[in-house]
Amino acid sequence: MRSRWQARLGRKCLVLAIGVAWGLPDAAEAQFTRYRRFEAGAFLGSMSIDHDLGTASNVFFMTTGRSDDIPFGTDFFGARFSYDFSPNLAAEATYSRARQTFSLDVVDDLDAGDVMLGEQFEATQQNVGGNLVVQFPLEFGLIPYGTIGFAWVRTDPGSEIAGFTSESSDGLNFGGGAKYFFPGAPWVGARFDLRYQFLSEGLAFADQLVEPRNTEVTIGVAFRF
Amino acid sequence: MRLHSILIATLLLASARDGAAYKLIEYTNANGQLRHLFWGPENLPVSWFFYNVPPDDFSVDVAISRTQVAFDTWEAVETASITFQFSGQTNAEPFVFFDSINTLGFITDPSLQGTGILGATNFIIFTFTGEIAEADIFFNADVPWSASPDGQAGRFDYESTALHEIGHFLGLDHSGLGFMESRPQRFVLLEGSAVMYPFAYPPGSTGGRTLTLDDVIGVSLIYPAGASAGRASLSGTVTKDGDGLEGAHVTLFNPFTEELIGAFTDGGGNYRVEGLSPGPIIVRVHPIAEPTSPSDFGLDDFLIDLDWSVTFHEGRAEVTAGSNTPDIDVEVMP
Repeated sequence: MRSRWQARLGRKCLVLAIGVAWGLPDAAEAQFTRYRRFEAGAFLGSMSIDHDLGTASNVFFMTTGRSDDIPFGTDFFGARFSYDFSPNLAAEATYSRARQTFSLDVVDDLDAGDVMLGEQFEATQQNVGGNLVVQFPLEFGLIPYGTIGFAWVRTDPGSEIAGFTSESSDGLNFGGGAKYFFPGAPWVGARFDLRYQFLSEGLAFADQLVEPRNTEVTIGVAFRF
Repeated sequence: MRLHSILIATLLLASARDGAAYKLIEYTNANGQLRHLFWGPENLPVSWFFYNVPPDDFSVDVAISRTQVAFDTWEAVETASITFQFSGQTNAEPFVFFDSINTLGFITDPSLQGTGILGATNFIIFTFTGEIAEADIFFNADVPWSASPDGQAGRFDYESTALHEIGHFLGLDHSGLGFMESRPQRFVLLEGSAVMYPFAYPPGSTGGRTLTLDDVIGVSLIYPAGASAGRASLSGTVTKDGDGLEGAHVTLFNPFTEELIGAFTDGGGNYRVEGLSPGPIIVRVHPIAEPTSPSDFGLDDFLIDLDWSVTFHEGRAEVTAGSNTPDIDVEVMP
């Protein structure tokens, strides 16, 4: 069994090795090398989705479709992993998974009028992002930050849709939030995030192009090591 | 001989009255069995002749050439196996039966004047099986016709009408998939309506030359061919006050493919639609509406309840390839 001292020594050696590898040898950064640079965490939240499916018509009625917003809960969850290059700059990788439902709106002017058909089908959205994080650590443990980066999103319908197996899209992320690491246990913290995402394409009715916009509000835990 | 088991089936008319899915011509035989009309394999390719009296508007040769295009359109359906063969011109008038030839042609009949009838199809069938023994089609020579590839203002498109009548010739009844827009003193059929809808496109239009999925599914059910893998079906019951509603027109729409297919409910209010693409389906149920009437679809004008409102199935109706989605039921309100 290793003693606590041995464990600390091993961790410092690891941090030091990384510090050298990134070329941060001066005094200020030597202080930083004792800081925990890696962070991992999990989150869940809600997603407001601006995603119209387009319009489809026939001789009787016209249909539009849209994604429903995802309420706060386990239908939207994920994980973040980051590495701090410095106290103010970090790189972050994010993975999230969301269960989307889609509703249809039928306009049948001559007969039934406007009819809402809620939750007609669902899809699973997997979202991978890579972001740069600019952060501003405050003395009492709060770290406000902003992010910008890219996204790659894959959407798989819950059941088969003709001519559509899955949809992949690139996109742009930006947003911000705040983390708070507890002074008595600086390796564990809580975080709040607000992220906005532009996607270049998404699930749509035949021959239509859509550009979904997602607004994510999440809370989570973070662990530094 | 089997002549004792032969009868002349119901006359099917195409009308130009400026005036609703696939539906097979069905009847119940003497044994109480539901049968539909079809050409038996021994009659393929189905031989057809053309009556050698021309209309006022073009020659018999032109009529034969446009009729051949219409037959080719049905023959080109990949999921159906039906073939035809032109056998020549004939002196035999259409609708003169038991002459063992299938005749198409133009006739002049004073009783057709002012009826708006463009053409009609009639059959001799073996009643126990539904197999067609002979079928003729006539076109009303008193109507202004066009055989132009682009259509002609003020004239009905002959190829579109031939395509519709040949659908009957194959055993298809009228489809409910059409919408007649009400305009001053007339109704006009909107583009996208099924070829087998009982009313024609207005003069000048060539909109009826293209089969819709509803037409294709119908003929593919009678003469199945090729893989239908990837297609699905959906079934359910339409009720009013808890009782099954006969003659309700059910339309199914996949917004991802924009495919529209329809069906009528049977005496118990049940329906089943084949040939759907996988995906979410919007199910709309409506009563037969003017300018059509139940008799346009082989139903009894006096027995079909039309006093209820258009209703959508509001729950999920997703279909998956190769399977049936059951219990998509709709309760309609007066």
